[in-house]
Amino acid sequence: MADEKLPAGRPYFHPEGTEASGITRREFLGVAAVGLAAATAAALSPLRQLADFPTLEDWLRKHYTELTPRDKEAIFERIRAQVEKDYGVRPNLTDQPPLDGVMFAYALNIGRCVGCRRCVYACVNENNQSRDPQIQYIRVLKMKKGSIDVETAEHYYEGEVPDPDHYYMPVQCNQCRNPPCVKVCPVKATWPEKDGVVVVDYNWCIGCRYCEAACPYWARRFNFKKPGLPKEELNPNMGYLSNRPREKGVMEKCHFCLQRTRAGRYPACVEVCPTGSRKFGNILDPDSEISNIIRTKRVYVLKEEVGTNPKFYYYFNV
Amino acid sequence: MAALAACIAAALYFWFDPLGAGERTSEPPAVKPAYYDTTPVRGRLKTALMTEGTPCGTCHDSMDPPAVDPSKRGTFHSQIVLRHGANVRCFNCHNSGKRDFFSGFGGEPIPYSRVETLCAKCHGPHYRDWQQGAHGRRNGYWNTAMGERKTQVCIVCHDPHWPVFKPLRAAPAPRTLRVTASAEEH
Repeated sequence: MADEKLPAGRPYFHPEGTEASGITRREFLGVAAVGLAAATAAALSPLRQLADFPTLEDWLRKHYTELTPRDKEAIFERIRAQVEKDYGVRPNLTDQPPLDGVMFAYALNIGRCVGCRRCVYACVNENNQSRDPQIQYIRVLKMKKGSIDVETAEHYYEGEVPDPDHYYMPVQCNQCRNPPCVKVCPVKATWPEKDGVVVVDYNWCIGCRYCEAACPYWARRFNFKKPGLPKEELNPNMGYLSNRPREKGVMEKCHFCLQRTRAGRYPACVEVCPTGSRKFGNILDPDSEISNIIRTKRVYVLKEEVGTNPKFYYYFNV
Repeated sequence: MAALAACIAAALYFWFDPLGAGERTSEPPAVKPAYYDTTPVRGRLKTALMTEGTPCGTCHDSMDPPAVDPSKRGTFHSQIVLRHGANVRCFNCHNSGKRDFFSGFGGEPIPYSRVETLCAKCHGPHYRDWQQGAHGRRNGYWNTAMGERKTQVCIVCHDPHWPVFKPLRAAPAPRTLRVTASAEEH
């Protein structure tokens, strides 16, 4: 039929005497176009996982320190709606300002810690860290008595504690007065607050992880995947700069439980410690427990020689 | 034809990943409420010196101190394990006359609610540290202007008959993404 309509010799461009291949130019281009479209769709398929595109307001948002109270309230309302959508609970999201005349400091009695890791999980439970993959702010190092050699410290001990030949040194963010993580941040997504706590704006962080590399205490954690947090384990009492749910691709770290401590309460790790090794308070108040410990006990800071000047102190019994 | 077959084979290989490690061999442990329970290790404090709900004075106030070892007398005393160092005499701490009270240096009664003054008889430096905040548990509010600070007393954590802090079972080890080689492998 086709042979009748088309002029001889035109549709089949082949040397005389050879068989036609059976594929017309039109068919070939058609198949190629479909194939190209399918390949493009396959290549773009990861975009399907972008269920929630950032809104225009989120794209045009200013830095936290430049936000007006009205901007903040609009942003907080969007976060509340998002958390309610994702977790089925309307959160009590607050952004308490730093208290006047308060500089937070922490002290840990290294002679009392038994290494039970209650602080690790109290922190995870309070601060909505990802359960899977696991993100924990506190590491407990088990070390031989008589030395502070963090290179040979053991993270993965199990069973009954304390081991009589060893002692335990929990490490978390030292809330440095001279924080290297803040210096290296190319977008100023992390900064020290007036009460001395180094915070992260999870919406401003670009996920470059420079801060993680800069921190001499290995205190920063990166969300390589979307945080896996079961709905029923969400802590609905949350702060904007502290424990609101994080996204994939942002850094997070210990923030001294700002949602608790700026309301006057102890951090979750202090609250839970069964041995009372953990101490917290206002270092600017000369009568506070923390000031007294620093004044009267033998105190050291971790990696003093790197010049970070931490507000996290370790002390001995005597 | 051969190139197409190779492409399909490669696609199948990457799709099913037969040799790959896969996602993960096991899930991280769940965060159990026991790991973040803020109850002190000895549970809730009693309100008075008592055994199984009965204040000691109920029976003892009309009795003179026995001349024999009380751990051999009665069912209540036999359960007590006394490992308090050199302090092996009941009436070093317990008041021999008023059994609902502890005993001060001169035998004066110390009420149960002021038990820390009993322990302070011997443990002066710890008592000082506890008063100043370097020793012992605190709960509630660091800022006493905003709420109540609960100062836990000695016997919330220490069994007075066997005061050494008992071993605990550690909560599970971390399984964070970044894993370091242990010291032996260096």
